[in-house]
Amino acid sequence: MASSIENNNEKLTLKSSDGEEFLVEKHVALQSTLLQNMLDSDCSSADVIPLPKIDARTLALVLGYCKKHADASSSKQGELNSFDSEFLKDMDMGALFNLVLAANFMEIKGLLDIAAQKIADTIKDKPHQEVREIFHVENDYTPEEEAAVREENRWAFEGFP
Amino acid sequence: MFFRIITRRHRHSGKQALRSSVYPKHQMDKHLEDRISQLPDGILSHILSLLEIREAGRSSALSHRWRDLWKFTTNLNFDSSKTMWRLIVREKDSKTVERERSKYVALVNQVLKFHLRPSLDEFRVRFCLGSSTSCDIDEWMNFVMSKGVKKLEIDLRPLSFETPYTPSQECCLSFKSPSNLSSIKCLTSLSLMYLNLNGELIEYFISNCPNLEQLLLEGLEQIVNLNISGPSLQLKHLEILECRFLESVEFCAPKLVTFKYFGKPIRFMGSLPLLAELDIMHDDDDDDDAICPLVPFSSYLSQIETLKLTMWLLEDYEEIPRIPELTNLKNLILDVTNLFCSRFPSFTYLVEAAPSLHKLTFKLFSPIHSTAILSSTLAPRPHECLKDVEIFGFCDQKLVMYLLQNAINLEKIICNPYRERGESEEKEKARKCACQLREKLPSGFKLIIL
Repeated sequence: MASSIENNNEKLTLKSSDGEEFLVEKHVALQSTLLQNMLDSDCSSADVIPLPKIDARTLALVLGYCKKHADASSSKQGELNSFDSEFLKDMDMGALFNLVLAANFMEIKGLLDIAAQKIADTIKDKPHQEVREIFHVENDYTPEEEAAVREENRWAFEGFP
Repeated sequence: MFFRIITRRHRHSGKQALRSSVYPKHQMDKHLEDRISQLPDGILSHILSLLEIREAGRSSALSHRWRDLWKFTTNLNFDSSKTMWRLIVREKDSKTVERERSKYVALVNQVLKFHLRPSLDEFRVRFCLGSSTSCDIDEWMNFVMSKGVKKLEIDLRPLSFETPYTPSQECCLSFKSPSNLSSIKCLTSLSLMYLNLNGELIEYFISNCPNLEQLLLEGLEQIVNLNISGPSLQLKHLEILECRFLESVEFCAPKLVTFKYFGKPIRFMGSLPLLAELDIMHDDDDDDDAICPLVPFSSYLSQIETLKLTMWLLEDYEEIPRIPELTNLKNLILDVTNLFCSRFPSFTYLVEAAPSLHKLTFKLFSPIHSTAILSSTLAPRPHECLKDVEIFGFCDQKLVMYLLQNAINLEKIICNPYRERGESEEKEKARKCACQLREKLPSGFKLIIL
């Protein structure tokens, strides 16, 4: 069961949705709870683990994050924090959505948290119309329906246009 | 490179990409696609949990997809500190207070009425309600008890001359009902501030929370003797602040690592085998005995590795109380930024009692402090382990010169001339003074001026 961390040099192969294979050190892969559970259950490292929902570009980013966090000792929290904030800087929304989905699927809590935070920061303090424009959210309410929703949640809209 | 692409298999056609749910169906439409609304509910409520609750609620008007998502946020954070402090410090008009209170209560009531998630990561209430709306608060308590909450924080400090909130008898009984016991067991962090809860109820929480790692008790005036123990207590971090009538604490907390205590000296008993960090603020308001703030902690001092003392002006003892040697102390932080009077063991006395001290941090407020720190009835002795010193509010060279003479293996001093209320002119003077130090230092010595 604990064999997965006994040998740091062990590697496993991950395959992205578009068919690229990545050779990953086990201690890096263990940043993902999904992979950890797979390794704990049986999965021999000779198998190729398919990740049908994650494309190569996203997987490369995810593994970059895992590598940094797996290698840094806990004493370097400050360094990790600045790595995290640099990591998502200037990333376009499409890539960010791919990343948040991948982090969710692979159960990498730290990455999910920072990606979700970045999306939340984009929504924060913006009027509805702007949020809709940024994310291309189509308003499918009729004016009557929207008014009803606003009325139901009046506590949230108080003092807000 | 951390990975290696072993094979670069045949590039996949659009057909494969279509099957993958993370890719837009048509590249052409990519820039117009509403990808955020396609994220799974779990991720969206996670994102909304990171927003202030009213902002999360407003997302309901974006589209049908968003209508109910806010009802599943993992956190309910009703921390209204800013308004609270404004009311406590400045507001004298009772009508304004009433209006702000009803606004706050209405907000919490509305959210709790609609919120649907069965368990919560965090529930936080923080407003100066006192006992003004006890019935509503009882309902909030019932809400919390009906959910499994991991992190619970309740701060209901009353305005001056008001009484604190006391849960109704039914409410207290319901805490102990078997159905609520399973919710209590979810708690990993519990903060109770300015409530009328008796010691028995708090001990009930402590002994029934097998996952509790953090506990903060502040301004609880009904507790007198407290027993912190439980059959499988995991408690790692404990803070007891300003519980005025507390007289003794008895521990059986085998995992406790950090302990913060602000208040008058009281009795502490029992074993804390893992305790490594003590943070003490000495409240000496009406105390006639010249009791050293460390004396109540005597039985733990030899094991402490980090000690933070927040004190109000230094004053030497005519007769220094005996404390055991701080054998394991590596890190000492002296915070004397507040300007009131109290008694304090002098710095030289503490350093002599800590032979393994490695790092020393001073937080000073004015030049008086650096003089006071040095006045001592003991003759200084050389200190061998001290390597690292940091001075916040640096203002003169005396302290540094003293350290250079006595800490014979000192490697580094960081001088930060910043003081919270200092004038910029003073800061500039302090910075110049720090720069002049360079000439007096041995070569190779690290002096960092911030």
